[in-house]
Amino acid sequence: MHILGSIIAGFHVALTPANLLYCVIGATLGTVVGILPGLGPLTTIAMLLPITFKMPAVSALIMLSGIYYGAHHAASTTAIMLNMPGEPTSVVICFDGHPMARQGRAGPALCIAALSSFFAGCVAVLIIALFSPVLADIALDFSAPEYTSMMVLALVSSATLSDGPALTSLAMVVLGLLLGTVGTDINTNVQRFTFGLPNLYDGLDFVVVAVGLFAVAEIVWRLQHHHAQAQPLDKVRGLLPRWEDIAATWKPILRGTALGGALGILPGTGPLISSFASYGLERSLARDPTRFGNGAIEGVAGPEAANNAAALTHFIPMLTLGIPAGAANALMLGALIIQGITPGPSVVTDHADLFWGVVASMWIGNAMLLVLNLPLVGVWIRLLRMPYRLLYPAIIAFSCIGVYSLANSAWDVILAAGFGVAGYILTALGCRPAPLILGLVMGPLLEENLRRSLLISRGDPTILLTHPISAAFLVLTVVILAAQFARGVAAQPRR
Amino acid sequence: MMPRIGREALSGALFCIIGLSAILLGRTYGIGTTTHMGPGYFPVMLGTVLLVLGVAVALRGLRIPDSLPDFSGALRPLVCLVAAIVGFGLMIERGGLLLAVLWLVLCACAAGPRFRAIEVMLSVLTLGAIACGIFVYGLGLSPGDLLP
Repeated sequence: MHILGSIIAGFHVALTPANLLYCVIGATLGTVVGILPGLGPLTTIAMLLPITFKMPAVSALIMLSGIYYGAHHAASTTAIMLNMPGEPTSVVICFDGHPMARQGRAGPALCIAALSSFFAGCVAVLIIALFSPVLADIALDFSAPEYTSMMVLALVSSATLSDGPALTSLAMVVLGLLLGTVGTDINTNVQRFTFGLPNLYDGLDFVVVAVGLFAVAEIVWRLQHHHAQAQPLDKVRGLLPRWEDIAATWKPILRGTALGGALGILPGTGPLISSFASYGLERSLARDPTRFGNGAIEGVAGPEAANNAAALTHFIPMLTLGIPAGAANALMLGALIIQGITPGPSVVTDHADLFWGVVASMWIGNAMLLVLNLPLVGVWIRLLRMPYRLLYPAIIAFSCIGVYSLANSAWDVILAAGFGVAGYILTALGCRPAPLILGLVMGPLLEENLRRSLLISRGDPTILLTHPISAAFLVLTVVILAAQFARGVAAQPRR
Repeated sequence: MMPRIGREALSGALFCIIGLSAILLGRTYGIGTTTHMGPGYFPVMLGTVLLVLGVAVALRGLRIPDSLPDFSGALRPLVCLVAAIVGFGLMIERGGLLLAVLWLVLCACAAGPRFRAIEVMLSVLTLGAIACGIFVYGLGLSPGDLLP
């Protein structure tokens, strides 16, 4: 009953008026950015990070996580109404959600999507509550070699398993790690890659880099690829699904939740891959697979459940091991470090109020999202008409004010513009910037653990292989790389 | 078929250049011994990995059909946004927040495909008001910083 007591304590933290307010703000903001096709949770989190530094750590994390899962929750609305994913992770919902909307069944599609998100969210929070303390307990025995190998595994798997070419993503991770070494080396006080600029002595602030890559570069990209805005279908009549709909979807929801909950824990897989896996599973189990793509409600329910379950269980490695599973988690992890919290297994016990408060707030947030999404669906659909040309000046303005407020430094603002240009060029070359942020946040941690490992072993790098758990992580890394390589060779066009 | 230079080959070359510079610069910081990693140890290691990955990306890029990066239509948003942000950074300390936001929003709006005067004015007013609110109440900075 230890966990029950902790959960109740968590609700005490999450239900204080201030934290409840941050939960509402986070979930609402998440809904808005999830629906707006031009603004995603990564950009929003990067933009709001500086403000959260003035808040208590638990409130900051409650709000930031609300933005993240709120966006995953709401993105299906855009997919169903516009045939365009509000977030990349909801692309699968377009396949059957939009055909349903065109058949006049937008209401049931939205309702089933919201219900399956809610159900999956509740189960996923339960998984976090039950699984995290166990995992943290195991990880408490980890020492530097285990951490080093675990970080390598996490970086490699999140780079290769996410979308985009694996080699390029790996290179972007390494580039991020390199950027993480910029500044004064804490052990020797040597300036690395500072080129004599005093402003670089403290290293690159990850907020500055994130704003450049996710706000500035993204806006340039969108303005360049400017298209006429799609018009949403107007009317939503009758939200309530029929009995057949519920009978047809409860099993896909259960399967999707299980799939997403399990895949979300691994770095790299997560919402996008889970929702594709669930769609494939439902289609292969269906009696008549040809219905898929033409408005099969199972094709909305399963992937939507998987997507949301994975978005939440993605928090497990971050909260218990200090390893971010994706770019958004990396930003939150960076925020925790700035708040003075050392990420790792001790967070669950040493900062129990933070951990359980955030877990409880996720439950509250999920319930709130159900209330926000369904009755207010008309408001959200009107939001889809918001033109991008009104949106992006606001994104830029708030990003710049946030970056300036970090250290009241004009240099940071100018540096963010520089990273915007670099980010745009990288994007145009087909390199996605998300893995870079993972590397940047993890870089100093990885270097420190590697240094400690080699100090323990007196310079013998085989220590990473003689510690059994560490060796297992490295073997897994090699397996992932080999699988990627084999797939790449198989997919290579013959000449 | 002749190898075609496209986006992937170019990005591979870029990674190679960065990796190589990291190795060359990192060596000057002192690599140290494995027991006591010098400040250059980790950067040189990463530079080497990046160089290898860069070569692999470039070779792969040369073997697959690929297109050159498309920069058309990007110059205007790029220049306008950089001018907006850099101008904001330079102005905020001397000219105050209001002037900086005015410049920022005007420049940012110029980055878009069409400049609609009324919308831009409304954007300036709304964003300016919200910015002042965040600046003074959210971030606790003094109202004196709003004006020059």
